[in-house]
Amino acid sequence: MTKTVRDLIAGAVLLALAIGTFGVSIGITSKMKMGVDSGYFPERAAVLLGALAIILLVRTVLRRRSDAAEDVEESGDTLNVLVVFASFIVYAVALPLAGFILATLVFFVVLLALLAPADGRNWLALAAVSAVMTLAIHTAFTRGFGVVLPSGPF
Amino acid sequence: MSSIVSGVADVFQLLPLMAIFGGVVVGIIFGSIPGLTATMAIALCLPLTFGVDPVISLSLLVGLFVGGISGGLITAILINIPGTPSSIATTFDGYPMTLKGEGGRALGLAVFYSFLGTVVGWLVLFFFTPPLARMALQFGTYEYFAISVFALTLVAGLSGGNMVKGLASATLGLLVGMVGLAPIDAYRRFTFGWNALDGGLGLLPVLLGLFALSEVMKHAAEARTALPSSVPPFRLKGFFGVTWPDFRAYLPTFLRSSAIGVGVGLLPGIGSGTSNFLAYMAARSASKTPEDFGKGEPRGLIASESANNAGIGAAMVPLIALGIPGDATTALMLGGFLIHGIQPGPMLFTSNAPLVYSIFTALILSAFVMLLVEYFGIRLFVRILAVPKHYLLASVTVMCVLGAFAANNRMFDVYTLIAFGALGYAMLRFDFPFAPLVLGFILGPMIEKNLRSALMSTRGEFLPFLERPVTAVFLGLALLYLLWTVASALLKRRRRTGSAAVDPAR
Repeated sequence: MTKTVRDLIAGAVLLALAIGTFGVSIGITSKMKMGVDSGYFPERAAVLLGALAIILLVRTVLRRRSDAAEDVEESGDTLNVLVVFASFIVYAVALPLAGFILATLVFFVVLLALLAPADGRNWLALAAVSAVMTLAIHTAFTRGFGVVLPSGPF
Repeated sequence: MSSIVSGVADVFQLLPLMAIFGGVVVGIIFGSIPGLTATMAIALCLPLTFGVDPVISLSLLVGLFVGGISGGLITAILINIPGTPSSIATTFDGYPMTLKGEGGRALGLAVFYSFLGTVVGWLVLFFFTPPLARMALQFGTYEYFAISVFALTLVAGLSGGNMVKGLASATLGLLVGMVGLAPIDAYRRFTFGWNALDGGLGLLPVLLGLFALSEVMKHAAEARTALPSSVPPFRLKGFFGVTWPDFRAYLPTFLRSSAIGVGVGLLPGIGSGTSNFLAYMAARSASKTPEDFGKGEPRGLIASESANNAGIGAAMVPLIALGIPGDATTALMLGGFLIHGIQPGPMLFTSNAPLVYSIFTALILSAFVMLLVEYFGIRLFVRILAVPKHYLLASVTVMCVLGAFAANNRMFDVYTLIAFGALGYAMLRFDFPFAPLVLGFILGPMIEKNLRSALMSTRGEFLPFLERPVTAVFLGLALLYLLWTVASALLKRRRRTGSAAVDPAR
C-alpha cells in the first residue's frame, strides 16, 4: 500500500467518523440555561475532525496529481496480525467463562506460537513457559496484589 | 526546630526505614509492569497500614509513590511500552536509544534525573509548602481552563512532522474523552444505551491498548522475520552515564523540566501524565536541534523523567497544606492520613508538625533508595532485552489484560483495551501519532468542565476570561505557541522547496 492510498483511506474514515459524530452531537438537547450545553464541545470537535479529514484528502489528491513515484510499503504478515487480534477477542470472551488459569494457559500457547519466529516454535518449550507464566502471574495477582480473578466453573 | 528533629528521628528507626525500602521496591515493580501503577500499589498496600504507626504507614505510602512513578521508565526505555502514564514521553527518546544499543545509558540517565527531579520536588515541599498551597488555591476554573488549553496546543509540536494527522489524533482523543456523562449536567453522550460507558473510558486501558497491544500486533506483522534478541553492551561512563560536561549541558533541560513538573504537580487535577509531555515539548522547543528529538536525544528522556518525579513532592504540597488531593494517587495518600485520624490541612503544621517533617524525610530517603535500587538493578533490567521478544510480549499482553481488569474489576476495561489496541495498530499503519490522542483524552474533559463552569459564572460571556491575568497569559501563550509552530513549519517547507528547486537531483 502506498502512502497516498493510506492517506486516502485515513481521510475517508475520519470524514465518515466526523459526520457520524456531528449527527449524534446535534441530537444532544440542552439542559443548560447558561453557558454552553453538552453538545457544544462534541459538535465543534466533529467539525474540526471533518475539516482536518478534508484537508488530508485534498492534500493527498494534490500529491497524487503531481505524479511523483511512491514506494510501496510492505504491510507485513497481515493475516498473522488479524489472527493475533482475534485471539485477543476470544481470550476476552473466554476469560470470565473458563476462568483465568484455563483461558490464559491456552491463550499463552496460541499467542506465543503466533509471535514466535517460524524457526523458533518449540511446542514443548512454548507449553512449559505458558504453564509457568500462567501460574506465576495468577499467584502474583491473587496472593501478592489481592486481585480477585475470574475463576470460571472450577 | 524541635519538630524537625523529632520528625526526622522518627523515620530513622528500623521499621520506617524498612517500610520505605519495601515501598520503593514494590512501587518500582508496579511501575515497571504495564498495567500496574503507583495508584494501584498504594490502593493494594493501604489495608496493610491500618494497624501500624502513622510514621511507618506514611513512609510506606511515600515509598510506593516514588517507586511507582519512577518504575515506569524501565519498560518505556527497554520495550517501548510505558509502565505508567507518567512515563509516556520517556518512550519517545528512551526506546530509540535502546535501538541504538544505548539502553544501559538511557536507564542510567533516566534513573539519575528521576532522582534529581524527586529532590527538586522535595525542596519545594520542604521550603515552600504553605505559600505555594495558598497560591494554587487562588486558581479557579478560568485559570485551569487556560492552562489546559495551553497544554493542549502542545500537540502541534507532538505531531511528528505531520501537523494535520497530529491534530486529527488530538481531536480523536477529545472525542474519546467525551464518552460518558458530560461534566456539569451529566448528560449521557455517545453511550448508545450502554451503561458501562456512563463512567467514560479509563485512562489505563486506553493507554495500554494504544502503546502495548499495538506493539504486540506490530510484532505479529514481523514475527516470521524477527531477529533473535540480544543484550546491548552495558557500559556507564561517568556517574550513571553522565559525565561532568554532559551534566552541564543537560542542566538547563533538567531545571526547566523540574520547574514544569513542580508547576503541574502543584495544581490539583492535572497530574504527572501531562507534565512529562509538557517538559518534553519545552525541551524540544528550546533545543537548537529539535529534529534530533524522537531519535534518541538524551534531553528528551531527561525532560520527561525530571518532570514526572519533580511532581511527586509538588503534588504533596496541596495535600499536606490544604488537605486537597490533586489526583487518584494523592487521594489514596489522603486515605492513609485519615485512617490514622490525621486531617491534612493548615492545622497539621501546628497539631502534628513532627509527622509533617517525617513525611518530608521519608520522601528524600525514598529518592535515595530509588536511586540505589534502580542503579543496582540496571544490569538486571537490561537483561530483559535478552528474553526472546515473543515471550516478553505474550507476558506483557496478559499483564495488560489483568492490569486493565484489576483497575475496576470489570471486563469492560479489557474490551476497551483490545479496542484501543486495534486503534493503536491502525494509527501505526497509517502514520498517526499516539501522543496527541492521549493528551486530548486527558485534557479534553478538563477543558470542557472548567470552561462550562466558568461560563456559568460569567453568564455565558467569554470576555471576563481575559480580565484575569493568569488566564490571559496562558491563553496568549497558547496562541503564540500555535502561531510560532505554524510559522516555523511554513518556513521549513519553503526552505525545503527552495533547496529542491536549486538542486532538483535531490
